[in-house]
Order: sequence, then structure tokens, then C-alpha cells
Amino acid sequence: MFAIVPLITRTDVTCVSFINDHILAGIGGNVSIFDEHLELTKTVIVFKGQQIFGIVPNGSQTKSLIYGENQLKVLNNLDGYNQIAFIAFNEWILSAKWINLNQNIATVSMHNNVTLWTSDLKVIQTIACAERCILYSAHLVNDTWEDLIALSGTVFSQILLWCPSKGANFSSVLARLSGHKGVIFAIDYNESTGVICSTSDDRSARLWIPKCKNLTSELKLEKPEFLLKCTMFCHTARVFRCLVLDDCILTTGEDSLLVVWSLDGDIIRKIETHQGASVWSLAYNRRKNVVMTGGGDCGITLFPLQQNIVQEEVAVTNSELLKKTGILSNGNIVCTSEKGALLLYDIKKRHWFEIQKHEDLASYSLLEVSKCRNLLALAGYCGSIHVYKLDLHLVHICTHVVSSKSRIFALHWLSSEQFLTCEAEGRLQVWSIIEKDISPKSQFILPLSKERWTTSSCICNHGHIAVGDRKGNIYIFVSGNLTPLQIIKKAHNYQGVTNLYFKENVLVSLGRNSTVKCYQFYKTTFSTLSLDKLPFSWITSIYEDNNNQYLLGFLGNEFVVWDYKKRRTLFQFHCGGGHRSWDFYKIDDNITFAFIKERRVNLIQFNSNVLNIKDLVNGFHFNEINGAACFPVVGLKKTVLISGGEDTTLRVSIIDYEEQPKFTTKSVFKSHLSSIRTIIGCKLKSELECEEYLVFSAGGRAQIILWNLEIVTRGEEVVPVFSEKYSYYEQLNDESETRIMDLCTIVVNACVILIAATSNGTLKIFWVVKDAGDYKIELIGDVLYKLKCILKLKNLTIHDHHVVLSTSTDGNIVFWDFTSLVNELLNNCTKDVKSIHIIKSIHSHASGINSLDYKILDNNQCLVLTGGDDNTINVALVSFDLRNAKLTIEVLSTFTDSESHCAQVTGAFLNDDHFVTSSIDQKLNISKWKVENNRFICQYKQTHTCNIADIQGMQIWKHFNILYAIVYGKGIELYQISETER
Amino acid sequence: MGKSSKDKRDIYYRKAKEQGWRARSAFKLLQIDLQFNIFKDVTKVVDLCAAPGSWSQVLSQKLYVNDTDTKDNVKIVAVDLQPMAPLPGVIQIQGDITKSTTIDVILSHFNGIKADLVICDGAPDVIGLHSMDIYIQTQLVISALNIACNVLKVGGHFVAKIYRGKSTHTITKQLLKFFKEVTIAKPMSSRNSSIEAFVVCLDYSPTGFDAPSINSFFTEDTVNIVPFVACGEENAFDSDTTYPLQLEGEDKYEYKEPVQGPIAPPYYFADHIK
Repeated sequence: MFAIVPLITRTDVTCVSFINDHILAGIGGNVSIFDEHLELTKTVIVFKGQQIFGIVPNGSQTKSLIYGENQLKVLNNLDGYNQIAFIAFNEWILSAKWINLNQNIATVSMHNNVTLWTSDLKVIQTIACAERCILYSAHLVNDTWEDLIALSGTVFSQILLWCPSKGANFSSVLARLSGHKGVIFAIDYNESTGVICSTSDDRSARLWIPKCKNLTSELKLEKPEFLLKCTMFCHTARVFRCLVLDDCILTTGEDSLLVVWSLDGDIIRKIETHQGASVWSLAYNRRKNVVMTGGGDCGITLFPLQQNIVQEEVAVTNSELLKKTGILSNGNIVCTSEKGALLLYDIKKRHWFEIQKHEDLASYSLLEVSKCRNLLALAGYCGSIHVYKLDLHLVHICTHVVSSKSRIFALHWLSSEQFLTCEAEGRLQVWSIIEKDISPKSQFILPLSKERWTTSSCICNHGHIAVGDRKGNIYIFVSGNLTPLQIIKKAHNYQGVTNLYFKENVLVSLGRNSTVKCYQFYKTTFSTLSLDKLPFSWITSIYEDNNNQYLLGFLGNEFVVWDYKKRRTLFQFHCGGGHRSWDFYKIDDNITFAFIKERRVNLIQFNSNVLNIKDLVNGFHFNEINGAACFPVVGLKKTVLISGGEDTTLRVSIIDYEEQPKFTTKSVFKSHLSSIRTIIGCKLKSELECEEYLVFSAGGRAQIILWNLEIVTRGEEVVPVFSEKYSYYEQLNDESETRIMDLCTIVVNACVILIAATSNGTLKIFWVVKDAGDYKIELIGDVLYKLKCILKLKNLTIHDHHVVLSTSTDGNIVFWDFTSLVNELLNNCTKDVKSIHIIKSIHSHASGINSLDYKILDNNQCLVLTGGDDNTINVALVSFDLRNAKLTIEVLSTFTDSESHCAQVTGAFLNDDHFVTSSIDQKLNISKWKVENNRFICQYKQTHTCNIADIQGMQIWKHFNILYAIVYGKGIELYQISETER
Repeated sequence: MGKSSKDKRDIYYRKAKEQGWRARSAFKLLQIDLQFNIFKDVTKVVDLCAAPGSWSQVLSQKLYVNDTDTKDNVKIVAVDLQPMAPLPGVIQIQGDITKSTTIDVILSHFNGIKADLVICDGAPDVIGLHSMDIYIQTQLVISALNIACNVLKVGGHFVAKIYRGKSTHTITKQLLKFFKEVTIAKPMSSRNSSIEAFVVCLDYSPTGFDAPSINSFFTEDTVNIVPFVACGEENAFDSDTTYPLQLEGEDKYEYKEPVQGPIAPPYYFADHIK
């Protein structure tokens, strides 16, 4: 017997629930339990592969009903969630509720039946709705069987309202809510407001109200009436879930957006949740003010709902028209007016004060607050500069007029002591504040340009000052030189550089072309380190706060606060767009966004908690995973996993199976143009505390990327250093639709040959060239098999011959001889793929072969294990012989099993005495084998049901003498397999 | 992406347009027929979930042979929820196959005579959760089977699309109660990477009074008992292969518009979405 113990499960989160102080999440057939500190404390295996769709606590929260597909289970919340009762029912459960003072449970099934259960899951009765149809959603209202109301969401766009207790076997429909134009995916009802919300395939959510405002009373009327209160459009795809709260509505779905609506159907807020993947589950906890979502990216996210956002327009008493605004360190707002006045709005006293009138600032003024927010600089059209300081009050320090009397085009604070001004003809002047005066320091000249003025500036190290201009260029100046030391031309597009920062030796520039660029200073110049593209074009500044990095910017007319690490919008607010003076500042927990609109100042204030979005479980791939490669770490119970798939991302994660299994994704790479189908590794060196691999990933658009992976260990810590080295992509005149299906490498004396199987039936042969420390992939040639998509590749060495095995959609295993090519490469002869030929072809499946493994035995025999689209597992015992120095292959016997799987077999693994197969039927089968009299004999078999749907493949490795297996598809699951006594 | 990129990715999509089929699925039925000869002596057929109508096209091509006698006997009834562009020789019913009223309408077209063949290529819009998508597909097949049990003559055949997954055996087990021979067929035109397959059920032979059970979960015994057959011509195109647009021995490649655009686009209300 084998013990197959699942260690880690990451897949669609189909249910989330708050119970007591805990959070329970349904992930596959498991419930993950998080404590009040949001730490994962326990994983309960509730069902065998059935996805959990509901976790419903009873009134006293002492028990939980868990349901998934046709299964139901009651757990005891008080003793570590042990099982109280279980049943495999014969209908798919859509909704459930504890009723009759927790004595009973009621469920609604997909076939529009309501079943009444005892609290230990014995069926009391089942009542069918008179309307026989398929439901996609249902909701139960009221707490007793007598009053129970079922709201059934049909496949034909209606919501049926009926009372199961009003009927012997059949119960008639009392009311219908019609109006949607597609399947109803979710229904919710709020007792206190009487609001029903439904969501649909038609992208809308609709609010309905019983005419008498109470659902129960309305249904008692002879002709119950319901009013469609509003139809809410915002989602760009199907709306899967909704919640009706006392004062707002939450909807979410396929577009990954969570939308908060007012009860009148106005959009209050939009939140990006799960990397674009569908949101499958939604819950709200009033006491904690937290909304929780679970998504198709395997992640769980928590965020505060109530924002208490206050927006006000603060009118100036004498109705002066305002031009510029800024926020001081004490929270007070400063503004300049059209008439040249400096005004201050005291936030506590809620009162305006005129600080000073500067005639020279009339109709044109600049207002800039220093980084410490205790200094304020004003500048005007005729070269005047005024500096103010905030002590107890805002006091004037000095006024200075530049000798040229030029208009001050721009003023940028470099530090709390220094600022830079830009005059006509590109004259730049650095100023220092000394005591109560400012004195000119370095001078620079901006090179000639059409719009010759600066937009941003910052101090770098080595006395460098970086300046960004209106045309998108960055200039590096150094004290003493009028002209720039370095010009970074077109750092951003023609709309200019918006801001510059220098941090930890890196210069960061922002632009209005959606990009954030980083430059590193090396020897004498700055060179580009990275380029990042964001989903909104006008990026204006970086705001840092407690380890969080927010990017501020504008998207159309909206002001956006964007989380740089999690890459999502946290806050979005209508302000009119980026062409205005504004400021953003946080004091204690209060954030203020001040902006000028129509010559008046507007304030938006909210608690910083609003930005506090937490990932309880970090997101992973948001679509099928097609390929994965595992790199067990020497000396530690950890494995580096590199995975890729339909979402085109490549992710580097660490699996830790030391004690409490952990799964952490370290980095995400978006280099592939299309889906990734396969990932393989090839070891370069293995030293203590550092292993090095070449990793190849390939897939759609016939793209192959070569990566370098270094696994560095420092004590218990593992640091995977992963970097892109080369991307092979044939830019044909028309876009290539060829996919690379699989890869394998032949490594001889540090010479690496890469073979790619393609969807157009050819093997592409490459040579990995090391060129001055860098790697390149060079195509040697193509070998056509036939117009059949090649699916899998493996290589083996026998009798000093290099043999490549390929499988394809025609059900054949083909053995290719690569020996001559390898020898030519080693001897630096002409490289020619003509020598590659087929030694043998074995027809082993009715259609495509989706998995392949082999094992070389004694006597030059070999077992080839394949799994096919035809649900079949095939094992061929072949023998390799040399005849006249030519390799020949003979099939000695074959073994076929077409009963163990009922869907495509997509994973195969063969080792010394057992073999493992996995399939889209979610079965992991493991068997013992032996060969007797040239026959393969399968001894016994054991089956484990996986939580991963659409399994695309499997990786198995031995580590510390224990067998670990991962299956991947819609998510990933890790198992520890050990053999136990029979 | 150019408009021909789908032509490059999918040979059958391109061939369907070139040969006048409304959808590439026509090839699936043709390849199933090649293996099972399901149209032999068949004159009365019900095509369930027929829109956009490519299977009905195949039926009318196969059944309306030159022989006038048989021609007069032919009856093809196509049922779908969605309206479908008319096809000569095909009677269309717009209705829901899960409703008993629809069965009555179908029967009314046969004047007491039973059908020789019931086919169903229907599938609901997938949600993205495999468990639910496969279950709902199973329910659709059971609805189709329920109609088949009402309209099929003894000895008639039934072909329906299924999704293979963890519960494939539950549906095949049901079908074996009503048909002597049940096979899972995968036409070459159905992709290797797809979970789609077809149940081909031959020789309808109802044994009792059992109606197909809608609640078909659930046997613990998970051994796969139904044979699998891949079908298609010897030299059939492979739907996973990327073919060059210009194939050897063929006329010069030209982009062709689809034969029949959708006549009721599903999101006609999209105007509301800003």
C-alpha cells in the first residue's frame, strides 16, 4: 500500500466564510482555517475532490455545514472541526441554511428541489418546485420551515419565489422576477431593507423590492408584486456573486472587479481583486468591516469596506479664484489666488486666512511645498521667489527676485534646504536656504528645445542632479558644469517626465506614457535597469508609507492610487483629470487629497485603512498551468518550482515541506508573448550553497526563452536568482501561430542541444551557445515528422547512442537517432540535421499521447510508459540492439490499461518498481510493477482523488528518500508518497 | 492579429468555411458517421441544440439522397433555444429541450412514427469551474437522452457531446441502461487538448420503465467500462496541428468569411455597457 498525503493545495477558492474569529476557506475539497491573526492554523480534508461551495455556520456558530457538489458534511467548530455527520446526496446543492433553531437544515438543489434535513444530515423530506428546470443559483430566506422562502435563479433568466412548506410534494411558484437576459448566477436578500439583488450572464445586477417592503408579507398576498428598483451595469463580464448589505450592494464576477454600489444603484467604488481571474466567493464581516473574496487565481483577499470618505469643497469667504494648492505638515491647506494672495485654510478651525498678498503673483504663480512640508516656495512671472516657513504659524522668510527678471517656469524642491528654479532660455539655478535668506548655488543650462523648461528634479549621489523636461528627456548635471554630464534622451514620450526620485542608488523616472523607469549609476553614467508599464497613462508620483509603495496618477478624469507591489488600484476618485494643482498627504491615519477644480479647492479625506488591502493567500496563476519544473534544493527540504501556463506568466516559487508545508511565490515574469506550454531545466553546476541551472520555457508563437537559475542557500533560507538570458522568437512577416509543445535537451561535455516539438509536426533543433558569459540559442535546423502535432519529448542514451523519443496526435511513439548530430557538434564539424533519422515508430494509442516516461532496465531493455487522450495507459517493453553499428529497436511486449482512467491521461512517471499516472479525471493512480519473462506485470493499484481540475501534467522527484509529486492544471497540488506495509 | 490568424490556428475552422459548413463541428459528425455508419437506413432525425445548424446541414446532405422515395420520407427536426437561420429541408423548433412541452412539439412532427436517430451537440456556456461545467453538460445530455427515450424507435441511435472528467463513468453507466452499445468517440476534428468527446449509443433497447434519472451522480465504482474510439479518415486533418495556409495540391489560399454569422448575438444588450 501507499500513503498519499496531500501537503499543499492551491486552486480556485470557491467559498470563503467568517466564523467566530476565524476565516474558513474552501479550496478544492479542503477547508483552510485561519486564526484571528490571519495565520493558517489547519487544513481539514472535507471531501474527496468535490469542490466546496458553501460553509454555513449555525446560529450559535458551534457547528458548520459544508457543502460541495452533491456532498454535505457537518463539522464541530469547537473541537478543531471534526466531523459530526456526512452524506453523499444525489443532487447538486446550490444553497443551504440552518433553520428551526438549528434543529434542521434546508438545502436547495440545482434541480429546484428543497430538502429538509435533521441536524445530522438525515433527509426528512424533499419538496420539488412545480417549475422543473435547472438552476444556477438559489437563496433561502427565513429561519423556520413554515416561513421558508426559496429564491431560485433559473437558466432561463428568471428568479422564482416559492415556499416549500406550502405543498405536499410539489410547491407552486408564487412570484417571478423577470428582466434579466441570461442565466442567474447569484441571488441575495437583505431582511432589514427588503432588497433582493440578482446577478446574471447579461453583465448586470438588478435590485428588486417587494411592494410592501417585506418579502414574507408580500408573498402572503394574493398577488404579490415586486418592483425592479434598478439595473446596474459596470461589470464587463458575467457577474457571479452578490451581497446585499444594509447600506450597500457588493457584486463581483468574471472580470475580477468588486463593485460597491449604493442602494440606489450608483457606483461607490471599484476594486481589482484577483489579477483578472474570476471571483468565485464573497463574504462580509460587519464587526471587522472587512470584505473577503476568493478567486480563480487561487488567492484570498481582505479589504476594509466602509471608507468614510468625506468630500467637501471649501469655499473661500471672499470667493477668490484659486490657482495652486498644497498641504502643509500640520494638515493645513495653502493656496495661491488669481489676485496673487497666499491663503491658508485651517483644517481644524475650518477657516480661511489670508497670509499675504503678493501683487507680483497675480494671474501667474507657482506654489511648491518642500518634502518635509514645513517650507513653502512661491514664484511669479517676473522672477520673484517667496519662501515661507511653518513654525507655529506660517511665516514669511524671504523674498528674492532673480536678476534676469525672467518668469520662473518651474520650481522643484531638492531637499528641505535646497530647491531648483527654471528661468527663460533654460537657465537652471539651485538655491540654498541659509538662515532667513536664500542664496544661489550651482547653475546649469538646459539644452535648446522647443519647450525648454523642467518638470521635475532630484539630487542623486556623487553630487549629481537629475532634471526631467517637458519633452521627456532626463539630464544629469554636476556642480560646476553648466552643460549636462549625460542626457537620457526620450526617457519618456513627448508628454514629458512627470517626476524623478533617487533611492538606494537607483534613479526612478515617471512619465505620462504609463511607464516607470529605473536607472542604475555605473562608473560614470546611468543606464536603464528596468521598465515597467502600468494600466494608467499619467503617472505623477510615488507615495511611500510603512513598507507600501503607492503610485499616484490619473486615468481620464479620475485620480488613482495604485499599489505598486500588488499591482492594483486601491482608490479611484473623480477629480477632473491631471491638468490641475493637487496634493496628497497622510497625517496619522488620515489621508487628504486636495485639488483645484473650477478655481476652487476640493478636499477628499479618508482613513488610511482604506488602502490596507491584505492577501490572506497570495494569488498564483490565474489560468491553467501547462508546464512546471522542480529543482529540489540540496540539503534542505525545499524545492524551487518554476511554473507557466495559459496566463503567459512564468512564476518562481518555493515549496517548503520541512514541517508545516508552505508555498511562496517569489517572482513573476511576463516575458512570454503567448501561453507557456513547457518548462525544463538542465543543471550547469552544483556546489555547496549554490546550484546553477539553465531553464528553458516555450509555448505559443513558437517562442523559447532561456533563463538562468541560481539557487543560493544561506542557512535555512533559499534565494532563487532567476534571470532572462535569451528569447528566441522568429519574427516572421506574418505572425506565427505555431506552438512549441515540449522541449528536451541533450547535454554532452558542456555542449547543450535543445530540441523543440512543434504543433506543425517538426522537431526544431537548436544549439545553446555560450558567448562571452551570455547564452544564445541558435537554430541548427528543422526535421519534419509529418503534419501531426508533436506533443511530448524525452531523450535517452543507450549503446552510446543519443535517442530522442517523441509522441504525437497520431498515437505513435517515435525513436529518433541524434548520435551523428551530437558527434558533429562535439567535433566542430558542419552541423547538419540531415543525419537525424527515425529508428522505430510504435503505434500505441488511438489518438494523441499526452504523457511519456521511460526507464532503462538491464540487458539494454527499456520500458516506455505513455498515457493518452484515449484514457489508456500503455507500457511497451523494448530492447535496443546494435547491428553493424546501427541501433535497432524491437518491441518485446506491451501492456495496456484502459480501465483505470476515464479521461485523458496527462501525467506519467516510472521508476524502479512503481509507476504513477494522473488524468483529467482527477485520479492519481499508483501501482507496483515487475518484469517477468519479458512481460510487464502491474501488481496492485491505488487511487487518490486530486483537488485539481484539468490536470495538464505531473512532476515527481525523490528528496531525502521521500517521493514528492505535484500535479498541475487548474492550480497545483503537492503530495508526499510513501510505501507502507501491505 | 490578422483575420487569417484563426485560419492558421485551426484547419477545420478554415475548411468549414471553404466547404460551406456553418461551423467546424460538421466535421465531427461526418467523422463519427465514418466510424459508426450512423446514417444507414435513417430517414427521421432529431437534432437537439442545433444552432448554428452545421449538424443539420450534414443531416440534410446525407439523408436527402437522389432516390425520390427516400427523399419523401426524410424528416429532420432541429431544436434550439436560439433562433437559427433557415435550412432547406429542416423543420425548426425554437424551444427548451428540458421541457416536456418541447417533446410534444417534436413528436407532433412525426405523426406517431418514431425517429431513427437523435443527435445533440449542445453545450452550455462554460463558467470556468470544471466540476460545475461538466455536471451541467451531463444534465444537458440527460435531457437529450430523455427526449431520445420518447422519440426513438427501438434499435435507433443516439449521439451526444460530453465533457470527459471525473464523472464520465456516471453518464456512460446511465446510457448503458438504454442502449446495447455505448462508445466514447473522439473525432479527429475535436482537439486533443479539449475535454470534449461524444457518446455514440447504438441500438436503443429500453428494458424497463425507467426514465433517465436526472440525478446521475454517483457510484463509487469508478472503473471505466466504455470503449474509446478515435475516428476520422485515414488522412484526416489533425486539429492540433498548425498547417501552413497554403496546402500542397490545393487552390490558392484566400480568406473567406464565415458561412453564417450568428443571427441572435448573445449580448445585444451590450449597448448599456459603457
